[in-house]
Amino acid sequence: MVIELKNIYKSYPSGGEEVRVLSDLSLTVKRGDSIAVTGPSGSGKTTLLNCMGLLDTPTSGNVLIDGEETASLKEKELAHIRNRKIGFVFQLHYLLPQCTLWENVLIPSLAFKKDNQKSIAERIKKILSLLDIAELSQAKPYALSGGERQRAAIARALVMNPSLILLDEPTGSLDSENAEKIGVLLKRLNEEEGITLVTVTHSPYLASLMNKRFYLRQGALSETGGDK
Amino acid sequence: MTLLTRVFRNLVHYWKQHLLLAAGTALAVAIITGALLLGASVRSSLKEQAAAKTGKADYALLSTVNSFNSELSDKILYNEKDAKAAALLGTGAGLIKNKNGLSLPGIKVWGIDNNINLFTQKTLPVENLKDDEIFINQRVAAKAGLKPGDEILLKFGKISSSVSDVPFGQETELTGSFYRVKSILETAQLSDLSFNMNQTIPLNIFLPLKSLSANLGIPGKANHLMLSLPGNSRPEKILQPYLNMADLGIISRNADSGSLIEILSDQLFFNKSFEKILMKIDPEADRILSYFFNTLSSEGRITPYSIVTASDRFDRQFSLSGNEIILSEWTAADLEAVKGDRVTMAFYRENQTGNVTETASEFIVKEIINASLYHLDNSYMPLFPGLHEVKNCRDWKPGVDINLDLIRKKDEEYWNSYKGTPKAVISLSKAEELFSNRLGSLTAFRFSKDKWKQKDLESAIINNISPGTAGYQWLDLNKTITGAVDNSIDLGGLFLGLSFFLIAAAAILLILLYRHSLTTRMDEWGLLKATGYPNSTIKKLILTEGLLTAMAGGIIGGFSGILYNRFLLFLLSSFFTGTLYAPALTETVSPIAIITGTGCGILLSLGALLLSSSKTVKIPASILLSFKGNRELPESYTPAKRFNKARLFGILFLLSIIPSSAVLVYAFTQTQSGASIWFFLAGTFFLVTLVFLFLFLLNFLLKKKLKNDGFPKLSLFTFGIKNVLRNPGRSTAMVLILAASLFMVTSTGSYRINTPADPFSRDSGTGGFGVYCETTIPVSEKEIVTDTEFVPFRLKPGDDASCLNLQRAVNPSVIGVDWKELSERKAFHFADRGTFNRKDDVWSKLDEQTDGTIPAIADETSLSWNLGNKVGDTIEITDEKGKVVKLRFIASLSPGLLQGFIIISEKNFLSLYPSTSGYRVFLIEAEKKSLIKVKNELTELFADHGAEVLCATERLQQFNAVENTYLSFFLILGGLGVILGLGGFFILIIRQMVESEREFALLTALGFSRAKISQVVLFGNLFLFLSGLMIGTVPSFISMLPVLIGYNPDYPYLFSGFLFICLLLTGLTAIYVIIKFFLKRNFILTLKNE
Repeated sequence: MVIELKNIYKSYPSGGEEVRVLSDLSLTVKRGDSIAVTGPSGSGKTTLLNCMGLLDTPTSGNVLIDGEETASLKEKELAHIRNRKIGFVFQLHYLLPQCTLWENVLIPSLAFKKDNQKSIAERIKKILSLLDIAELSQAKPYALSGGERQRAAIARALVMNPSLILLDEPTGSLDSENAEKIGVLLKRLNEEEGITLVTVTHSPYLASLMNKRFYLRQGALSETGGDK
Repeated sequence: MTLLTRVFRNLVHYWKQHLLLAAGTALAVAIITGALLLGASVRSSLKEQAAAKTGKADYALLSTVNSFNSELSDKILYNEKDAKAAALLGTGAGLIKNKNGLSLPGIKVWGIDNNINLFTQKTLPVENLKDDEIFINQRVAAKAGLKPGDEILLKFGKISSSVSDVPFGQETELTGSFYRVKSILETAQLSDLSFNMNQTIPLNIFLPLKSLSANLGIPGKANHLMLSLPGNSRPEKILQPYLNMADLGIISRNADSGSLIEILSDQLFFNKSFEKILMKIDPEADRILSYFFNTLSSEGRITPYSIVTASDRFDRQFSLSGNEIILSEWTAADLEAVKGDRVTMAFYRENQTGNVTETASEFIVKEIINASLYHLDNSYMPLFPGLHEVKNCRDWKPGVDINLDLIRKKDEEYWNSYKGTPKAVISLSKAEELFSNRLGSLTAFRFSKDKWKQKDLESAIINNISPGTAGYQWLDLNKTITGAVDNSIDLGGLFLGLSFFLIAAAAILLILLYRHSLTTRMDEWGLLKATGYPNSTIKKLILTEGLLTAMAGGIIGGFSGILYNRFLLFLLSSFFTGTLYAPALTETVSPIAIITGTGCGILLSLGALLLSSSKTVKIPASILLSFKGNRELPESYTPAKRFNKARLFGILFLLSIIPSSAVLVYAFTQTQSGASIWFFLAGTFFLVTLVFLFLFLLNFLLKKKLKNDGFPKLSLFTFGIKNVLRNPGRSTAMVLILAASLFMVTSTGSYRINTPADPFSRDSGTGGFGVYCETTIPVSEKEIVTDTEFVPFRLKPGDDASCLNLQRAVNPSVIGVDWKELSERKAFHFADRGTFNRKDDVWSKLDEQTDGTIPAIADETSLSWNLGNKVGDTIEITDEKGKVVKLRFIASLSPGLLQGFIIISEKNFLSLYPSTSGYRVFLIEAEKKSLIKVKNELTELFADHGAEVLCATERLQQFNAVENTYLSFFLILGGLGVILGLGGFFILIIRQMVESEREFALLTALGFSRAKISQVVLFGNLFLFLSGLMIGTVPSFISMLPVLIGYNPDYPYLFSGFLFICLLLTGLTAIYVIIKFFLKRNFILTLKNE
């Protein structure tokens, strides 16, 4: 088990009232899973992903990462978990324009001192080759195509060798050709590298590539299909 | 929708941005307008004050030699329609307060009559003033602690035509009387009356003209006349008809038993101007020079203390020439001399520096005559004071040292019988050669009664002698005030200059704000382009928005400028009343200043907008539209993409090192006083050089690929730096703004003037003298009974040309000195030696006239600020007889004790102002241990002369206080600039933080803790902040080199250190607080909002 959500409630104050986004939501993600969460806009998909990625704190309920409860963890400990165990890919690539592709991928390794720069470099090289963007390593983000940028963002998510990658509409800003390429790449990472994926998406195609599919509505998840 | 509608909608929609831009423009406008208004206010205040001090009279008649009948004003009022006139008697005095013995120097006493009320705004009750009562002005009251009813002793010197230190001149007789303060006058009662162009309030005391003139020994006389005339009437013509012989200092009497009319001078001697006029009136007039000799000796026999004469008549009668002498029978008998014998005449004569010394000349006896047969009688004796009116020759007081023991019984009998009948005659040319002095060379003119009636002769003389020749000078007050005020120290310009950094900081801020505004609306420009708008229309839209914003800012800035001017006036007024003893300044709201300031500010704002917008509109629509997503323009659309920036700045850095180093080396070759400005310039050059170095390193770092085992390396530190260097222009602006502010503030400190480290060094501002003394009443050398060595200066008072006077010195004070005294001591340091080299004795050049131009030296502060000249320039001054004379500045002194004066040689001084008696300025040698003792001795010694005795360093501190106050203003403005600079720096950090929100969110998602993100941000901003400080420190150090090499050992290290630490701590604290505060926000929302 990589991540487990237990009875998650999440609400936000809005116009003097509490708006409930997630309601008694529970989900278990096992190692090697690839999960797609779909749902209408505003249904709480990103909130769910943020809670899973420890970017947001549930109003109540527990998030367990590798069996460890996270509610009582301090900010630095949460950051450490995010850095080591979770990778993020967003709809927009969020590559830093002032850094080269290589440097963008390298950035997560700067968050904590312990990492061996040489091994990180070797790993980046390998990831870039895997994602077929090794030759672009010295390019700045504005010189890359949309698909290349998103692959760079995935490389950045992979660099710390996380057990889980959370993807928020990873193909939302791509054309269908690039969206398909990214989908295939993610599927390959899951199947060949054993990387656990949780993606929220509007894309039926990307969802179809995942082995589990959930639908989020009125704060609750319902499984809509899968390979099992 | 019209363009204007769109503009208004944009203005409303982006109101926060436009508000900031309007505020930036308003700031620039306020600074410029405020400075311009200050200049206008100061000028107008000075003009009003000067007009108020002169009672708004059109002209002032000043007499330097003679005095006139005070009824002159009544005559003018009676005869001249619509004229206003008031006669005054002005003289210097010393005030001694009874109770605590307080002595107040520099008092000006005015004798007034009721006519003064023609020039007052509020009646001055002169008629109620008793002979022993005085009015005082508020400054005297404040300085001496006087109130109505208090009694004081006033000491003044009697006014006499006699000049004390020419042969036979009489010492100035001191007189004193007790007076009771009747009341303290208001300004509207002309309490601050003065004809000098100084904004300083004089120390004025008023008493009835009648009693003052009686006390001064010239009853019923006056020496000043205030005059206002209707229309364009000139005063010169008005005066002439009212003057009489006495007013011109001329006496006429009968001679030679009434057959001749003899014309004599009040001053004993006639100068060449008079001689020319009198000989023009009658070329046959007999010129006479009679003189008092000490001894006439022949082979051991001596005839003491007698008169020798010379005249045209005797020259003709005896064909006298060269060293021939004619003796009276009495004298020949006394000396047992016969024709052909040699006799020696010893006599007193004046040397070049005005000192009287005994000298002798040898003659050969040509004839021995019976005096009475040749009409040689007592009338040939001039009106030597202390001689001609004395019955017994043992009571002689001829104004020169005489040994009464030499007077024999037969000499007394001769005096009793023949009085001053000459005992010898020599040729007129020889007499002039031997006896002439600065006042002239003839003692009388005789006119034949066959040709002249006395009345006709007097009329001819009065009509032919211009009042100027007799020492009367008209001062055109309106012209003088305009000249003094219009050319006064331009405080507005000075403040504008001092505000340069503040304006530059505002301009940089405006550029940054405009760039920010344009950047945030990139997609809008892209959209407009995409929908077919031409670049020109987009530019028009941007500029129209900018213009309206700038105009709004300009209006706010205009009003703020008025308030800023009030603030500066408040500061200056405190400085005026505290240091310069001047009235408070009043505000002048000059529309021209406001329009100019507002216009300049708006232009500055639009210039910043043009600079920021010119490239934006040229970027293709696709790039503009994708800017929000990419957050950065492709390299091809960033400025200067076509060349290697690192190389360019590297070359610029190397090139700028050359002039910077050259200026620095040149600065080392400069003298102490001139060095500061060159070191400052070198510092400025190095500031620019270091900015190029920074830009080179910045671009080099950006370009450089740091390799490690074949892989690019990135550390938290370089990552942080990369973040802040994302916008090189902004980063450079941040660094520049900090570096420049640090440089300006610390280098200003090096200009602060303090007491010299070794005030007894001849090279310092004191010239090595310990004590400075200036008296109100002249002192003759004989009166200075002290063992202390001193250098005396003759003074022709005028406008103060020191930094204590804001106005242009139109009629500057001139001092004359025996230059050898200063040359031998090697006193004072020359700031500019003009055409002379280091080995030349510049002081000795004071006597070397070329083309009739008199060499002069002045303190460099006086020369540049108060006289508006430089070494090599000439100025015109008017001598005692109204003749315009040119002075050429051959060198300037480093700021010191003699600031405020034009220095010329004593010889030249006496030729210009022969009637000046004695000395008024003294530089006294005193060792450190005896300084106070000497000061106290002199204060006591010269108390009756109204002496102000100061330790030399005290006088320097008075000047330094003024210059340091200006520097303090500079520091205040520099400080405001630093605040603005730091403010701009912080705004840029905040802007950077806002722009980086998404990056922070991403870093959070990637596992960076807040502490780690803080480190990244801190590294980048610290790099910029410390780069700014380092770039500012190096030029600061260079500009401080004069301090470090000992030119100004009293540099305010503490102050500058405090400033530096304040800047450092403020910067570090603010960066830390901004980061801490900002990173508390929840960035994840940013990602969600995307």
